[in-house]
Amino acid sequence: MKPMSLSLKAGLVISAVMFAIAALAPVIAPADPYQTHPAEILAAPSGAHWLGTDQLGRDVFSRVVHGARTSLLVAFFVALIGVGLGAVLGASSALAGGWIDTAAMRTVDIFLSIPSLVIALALAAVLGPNLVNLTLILGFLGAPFMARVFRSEALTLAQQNHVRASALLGAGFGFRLTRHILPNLGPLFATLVSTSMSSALMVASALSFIGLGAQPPTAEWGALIYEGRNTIMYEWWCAIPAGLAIALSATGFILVGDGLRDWLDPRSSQA
Amino acid sequence: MAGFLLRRLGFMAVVLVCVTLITFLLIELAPGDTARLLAGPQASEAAVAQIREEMGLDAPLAARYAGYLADIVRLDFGTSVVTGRPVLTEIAERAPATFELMILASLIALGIGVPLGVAGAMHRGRAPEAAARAVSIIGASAPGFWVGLLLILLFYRTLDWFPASGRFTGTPPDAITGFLTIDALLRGDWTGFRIAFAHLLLPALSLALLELGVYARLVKNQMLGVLGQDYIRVARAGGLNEGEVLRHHALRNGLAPIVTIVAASLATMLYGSVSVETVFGWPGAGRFVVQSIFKLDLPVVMGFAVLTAAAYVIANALADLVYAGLDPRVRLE
Repeated sequence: MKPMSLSLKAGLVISAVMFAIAALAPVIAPADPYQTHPAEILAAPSGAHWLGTDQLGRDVFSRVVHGARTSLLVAFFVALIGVGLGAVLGASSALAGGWIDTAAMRTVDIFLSIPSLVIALALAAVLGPNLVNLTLILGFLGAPFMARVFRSEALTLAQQNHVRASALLGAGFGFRLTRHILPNLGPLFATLVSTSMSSALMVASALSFIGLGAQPPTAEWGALIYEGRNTIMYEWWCAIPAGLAIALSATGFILVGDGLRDWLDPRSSQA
Repeated sequence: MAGFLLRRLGFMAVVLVCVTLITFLLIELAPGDTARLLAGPQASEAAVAQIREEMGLDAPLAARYAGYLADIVRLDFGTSVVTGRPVLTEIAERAPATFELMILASLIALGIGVPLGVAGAMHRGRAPEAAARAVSIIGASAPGFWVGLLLILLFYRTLDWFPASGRFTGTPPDAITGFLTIDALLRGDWTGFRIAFAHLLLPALSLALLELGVYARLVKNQMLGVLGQDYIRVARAGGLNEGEVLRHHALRNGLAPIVTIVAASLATMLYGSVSVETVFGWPGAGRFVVQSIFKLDLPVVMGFAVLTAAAYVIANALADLVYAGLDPRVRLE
């Protein structure tokens, strides 16, 4: 196997650090992210509060650290739902072939022709704006595109002799899908989960920023920036750090996604 | 060509029927009484009963959908439960602000992203390629609404060069197109143009960043493909310098697909637009629909969904036509 590129390694390190921060949030955060301190409202960064306090006197550093849990968990599940559903749909469609395949791909075409934001807003309006609904909505909306990608990969697999032989020997649809097709989509799966985590993080935090995701007082990066935007003129420390956290995490996921794609692709050179 | 147009129109119709089916079913299946949802939380029982009567809400589902579709075809999207005005009027009033923002953002993204992508492809492994890659990563990882806040800090709070909020200060020029910059120019009002443009620039920059990175990356990859073609090698072997090769042979083939990318990326730009409009207090359609969600103004949200989907589908069909016009190898069949 060829060596990993420098940017793939950098991406893996960044992503690992961000996940470690999320996992160890209660250990790392010096204060309770929800504890208000009326006496210490909008205090500037200091030894006691590394990133100052917000308009309710909460420790901003602790809120950003705990925000990693919410934001990364949402991004992960959005990516997992979208890529997972897409893998199953795309692989089934390719393996089934015929009119089922045609019908499924036409449906995908239709969904890809509708801007996903309008469906997301319509669903959020009816289901109610909260983080769980947002995660499910964005996950489902990611599936059509993923289904198309997985289908073209699965089509190649389904034509291979061992899969066709398996069918001749009487292996059913489910057996071929779960034993022959899906396991071989693993590398593509890993690449797409990583790439879509970055876009999921961006979209979910944008929608949380406008109030359709995490609700106060939840520590979530998009919501933290929303809470901090009114004090941005003089107390920059409320909104800026959470945005840096988003940018850093997204950069990590992009580097991992791009790097994995090149690393796992036997055709690409090491340029 | 005629066949392509017909099929394309047919597909557009199918997509729009699906969108209306989604919005219709969402309203129908929403928890609670549909008439109550459409009348709004503050409406009286009599008003709710009147809506039920008007909308024929006791009729079978299919009949109601047919009625809903017929209304939409006549551009009747119902009335806002908050203001009581037609949904179409409410959205049409705010749409130019959003269009103006998205158009300038697209122009900025194209104006910087395309040259950067071309330079990146021409100078592989050197600074321009690194710059193109850096911009595409920054664009995809820095949230537009957060970049907007940084721009406000720098250009409003620190330097005081640009305003931080709204579309205009003072009395805006009378509407012709609804685009304040264009209207001011059409009326020969230079001061008005400067004011409108100053308000427009920071939100447009925040919105442009993501697309800028996307275009830089795609143009670079596209140009790398074209520059590796045999006819380019022939042109070079024939003694043309790099500038001539680029102008006469590479650019047109390399850039034509960008037209379809620009149209397709309007969908991702919408996410940026709703959040950037919030940061800059931009009185556009995106911010309005988000506020409508909180006010449970379902007719506005669903009307916005149908109208936006229609605009997006039309923009993409037009882009395909333009692409075919630019690249004679593309057959519209």
